[in-house]
Amino acid sequence: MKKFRILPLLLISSVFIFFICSLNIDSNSVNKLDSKNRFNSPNLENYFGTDAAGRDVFNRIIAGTKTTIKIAFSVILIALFFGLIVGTISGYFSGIIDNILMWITDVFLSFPSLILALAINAAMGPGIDSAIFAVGIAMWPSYAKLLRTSIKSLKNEEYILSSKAMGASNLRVIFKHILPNSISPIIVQCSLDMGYAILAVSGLSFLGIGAQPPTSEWGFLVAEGQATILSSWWWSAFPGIAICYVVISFNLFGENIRDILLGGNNV
Amino acid sequence: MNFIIYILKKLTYLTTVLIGIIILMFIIVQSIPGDPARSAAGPAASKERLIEIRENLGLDLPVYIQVYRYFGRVINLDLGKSIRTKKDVWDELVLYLPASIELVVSAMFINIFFGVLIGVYSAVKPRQIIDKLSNLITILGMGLPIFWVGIISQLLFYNIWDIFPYGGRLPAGVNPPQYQTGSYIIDSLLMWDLALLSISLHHLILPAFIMSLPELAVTARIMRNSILNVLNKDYIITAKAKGLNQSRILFVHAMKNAMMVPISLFGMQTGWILGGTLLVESVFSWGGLGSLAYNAIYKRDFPIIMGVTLVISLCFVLTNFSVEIIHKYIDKRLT
Repeated sequence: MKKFRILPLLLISSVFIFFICSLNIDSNSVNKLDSKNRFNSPNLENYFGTDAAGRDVFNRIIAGTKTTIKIAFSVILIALFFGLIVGTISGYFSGIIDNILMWITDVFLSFPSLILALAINAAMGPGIDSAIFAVGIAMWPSYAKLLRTSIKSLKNEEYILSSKAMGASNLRVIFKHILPNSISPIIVQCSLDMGYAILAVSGLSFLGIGAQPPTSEWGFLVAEGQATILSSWWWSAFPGIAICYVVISFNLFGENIRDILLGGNNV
Repeated sequence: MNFIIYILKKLTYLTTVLIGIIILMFIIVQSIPGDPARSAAGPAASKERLIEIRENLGLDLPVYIQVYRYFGRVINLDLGKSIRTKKDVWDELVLYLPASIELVVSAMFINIFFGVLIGVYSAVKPRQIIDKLSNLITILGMGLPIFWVGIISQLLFYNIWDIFPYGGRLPAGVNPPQYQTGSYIIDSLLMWDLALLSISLHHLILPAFIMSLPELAVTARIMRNSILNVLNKDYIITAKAKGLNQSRILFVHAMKNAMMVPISLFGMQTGWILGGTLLVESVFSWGGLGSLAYNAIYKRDFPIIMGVTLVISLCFVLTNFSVEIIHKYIDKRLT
């Protein structure tokens, strides 16, 4: 039995400490304009410097943690919702339903995901919520496929067959026996995908179609600072490092969970 | 014979997937607010003019008839005309596609070369300094937002050290080579203009390398695990017992089997990179498919959106198809 490793645990808890801090930050004070302190380079008062409006970059990054955590969890929940429904149905019922659902899954899987996200975003209007929805929609097929495979392999296990023989309904078999036993790979996939979700949504924000001002979303901060990168590098640099830090924390933690739940294949 | 039937079945299925993609895109695009006819006619157009344009473009018909008509045209390889520029969609694609392909192919080349190299190296000497370094690279590579890496490397390599150009495919004032394939590298080679070749390579390296970073990380890790798995197999131990030397075992015996997983990975990666060129393209002002799609979506230029989606999905489906065929072929030889 593998255990939690210390480094991923430390990283992920630090992320959640930042998250709790960000919940207590008043967004009005973060976004207060201060014309005297524009473009301050990093110093003891403003650890990460200030931006063109005199706002403290460190505070804006901390305030952005809230959005980042929201992104990670909501994207996964959306992908999970569709993936669970499609995957369970097509794994449990074979035949024509399975074929049709798998065809739909393949269509979404072959669809260029960034263009799908752009189009959904254009249809729903720019904003962080539509960006989250768009990335979630682009992500669900892998969950459906994963769940389908694992249910197909479970379906003919003896305990499933015997509970069916005892007259259990399909829904009971699915919720009582099949889902609980096929959930481990799904949990692993979720925890590994959270970092990717953050990267994808911050990419959309960077293009200007995700978070809208004055939200302190990190991808958006990077884009804001891009124009003045020569004179004030800190404005773009630190939000990027923040993204990297959180994504790596999620990735390492996810790999740790994989090692614990699935035994891990790291030789 | 079985093989041929398998291929035919697979191709039919993939065609239906492409049809599904067209339908899905139609549905999404229909719900994008804004009037394509308005964007074609300009803000000053009269009501009658708008109705006329709508009729010309078939926008007044129900969606399913529009889809049906579109299929009819696609079969004849006619993708329609751009609403905004009035140019043929093919002409637009021919203008932008080679730039993206040039970038994607170079990125894939860097990805495969360095990814396999790092993976093999760290598998041969696991838990030593190179393995640990490559582990660090893979963790970083999967966590870095590439748009940010792009900006920071522009700052470092252009503004501070001045070893790479800022962006674009060629510096201002330099004429691109005569259009043959659309790829500046190949075209300048065909014209044997080595100065131009080196300039365009110089512009290509940085964006291609950054684009390959996240994929390179995955390749290295999967390659490492795949080789380590194979090295524990009986036939490798037999080969060792026979006294074959290390590099022969590694490159002749182990690699053949260890490449199965990475090969299907390369297929997926090509699709991912091609679908995600937009971020790198926008940082490096690289006029490719991504920028074309981005502008088309926000200008409601429906035929262009459909054209780009179709081309990218086709590339994705075809690369994965060929990877699967290669897989089947190797598999058949093994059994």
